[in-house]
Amino acid sequence: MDIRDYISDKKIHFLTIFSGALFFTALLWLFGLGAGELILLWICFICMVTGIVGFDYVRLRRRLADLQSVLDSLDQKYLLAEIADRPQSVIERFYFRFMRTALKAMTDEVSASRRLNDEYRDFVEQWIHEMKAPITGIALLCENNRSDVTRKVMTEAEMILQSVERVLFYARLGSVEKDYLIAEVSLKDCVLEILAQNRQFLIQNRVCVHTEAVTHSVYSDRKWLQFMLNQILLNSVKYQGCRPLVIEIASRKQGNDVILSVTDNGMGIRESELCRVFDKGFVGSNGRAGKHATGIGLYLCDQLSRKLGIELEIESEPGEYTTVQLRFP
Amino acid sequence: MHKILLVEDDKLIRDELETLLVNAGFSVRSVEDFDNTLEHIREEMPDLLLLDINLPGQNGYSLCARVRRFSEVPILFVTGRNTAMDELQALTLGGDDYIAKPYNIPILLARIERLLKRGKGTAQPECLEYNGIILNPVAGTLAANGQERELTRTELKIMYYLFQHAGQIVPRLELVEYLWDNEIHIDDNTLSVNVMRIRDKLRGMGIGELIQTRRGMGYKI
Repeated sequence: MDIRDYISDKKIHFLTIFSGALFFTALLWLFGLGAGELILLWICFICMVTGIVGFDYVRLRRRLADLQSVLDSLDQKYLLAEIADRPQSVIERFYFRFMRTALKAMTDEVSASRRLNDEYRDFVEQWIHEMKAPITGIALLCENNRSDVTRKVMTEAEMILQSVERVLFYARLGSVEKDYLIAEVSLKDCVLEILAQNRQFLIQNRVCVHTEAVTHSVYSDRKWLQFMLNQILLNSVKYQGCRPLVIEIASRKQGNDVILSVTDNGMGIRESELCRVFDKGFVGSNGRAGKHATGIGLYLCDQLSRKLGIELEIESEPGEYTTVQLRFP
Repeated sequence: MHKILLVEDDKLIRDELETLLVNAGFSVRSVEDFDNTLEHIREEMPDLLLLDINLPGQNGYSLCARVRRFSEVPILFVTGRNTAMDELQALTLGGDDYIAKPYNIPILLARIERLLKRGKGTAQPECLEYNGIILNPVAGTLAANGQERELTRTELKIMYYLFQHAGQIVPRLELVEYLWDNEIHIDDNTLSVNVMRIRDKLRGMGIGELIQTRRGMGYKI
């Protein structure tokens, strides 16, 4: 707040003071006071007013600066009314009361919607766990009665599982911090498990996967890592080109980092779309061309990788290849 | 033969799991009355316990802790939940391994094998013989008519499976599935290429007709 704001805010006061002063000047002049005395009186009067107003201005300015610094130091800005020191004037007291009432209403609203959100998430998680029993049943039934039909059923069941898992991980994304276990993970085991999980789906899609070059171990959370690999793999299969799909998975060490790369020989991604593949809901030209693209898989991967401290990079040549790299620090 | 005890409340899963494990060469018992699970376990004295976490009237964790008081039997937890907390709890309460539903069958079998093998030496696979042709899985060689040829890992696995099913028609898909279960992830075409290479080697040994192709059905030796 500068002096101009202050004056414009106190217009009515200044108007009262100066119109009063003018009135008394006129009165005194009528009583026969000379011009010299009047000027002297005015000088005294202006000094007094300036002193008082100046003091008030400085006080107000300091008060505002204090409040601002309290606000700046707060993480949750809406708590200002609770944290700031006691109101100093009557009008401030009113404003503080308004702020507190508004804050309380807002907190109620937020906690109500948070509770709803939690309930919803719990329900979704519960539902997903219930889904797993029948899927397990299907898998066992298919394994015990192998035929062309059950193989196809299994492929579909693997697809269902993929989708269900994605919902689960999406629901949990907000609380990755609470749900991870960092341990030494052998990349080879991790990759092999993912391939085994999607065995029928990959075989039916006639995919060839090379994993000989996966050797290193990293410190990370196995479950989340597998989820990311799963999404990447699924994308490779979804966007395979006209050639038979070959996926090359390899790991290498670069300085202190371990890099896991997944390369396919699929249709690739246009350069103009490459930077947007991690955006939520982004569906590229490949995805629009009749595939079931949701624009959510790579978005989830990207979000997850940030939380796990993994760098995710993508590189592609349309019609040639796509490489997704996970860099573990 | 190893004895596995199933503690699983879903009937369908229990029955199918039983079939699966019996087919995989285990002797399987399952708990059907969950009021006396503990006594059941004590009586059966299995070599491995497959324990579900959500059971009627109790949970698998406390059951596991109680089993640990009298037995060191390997316990493999099976559960629908897969949060880090569940995993941690399963392992700290004395579980030996943890697998989340819906489990992948080869992974499940591999974990069971691993737990059972713990402490015991692994059995050496023996040489297989068919019509005077000898397959040595350890050396990775095939010998016939006094000649020997080296096989690649993929070729070896293909031959191993065919030898194990000598006289039967092995569908291509089944062969591909077997290879995938053994960490060789190839597609149908690559399988054909590999079989062609094996035939070349066989021809060099004068047994070119060993592997027959049954159109639309698979391979047979």
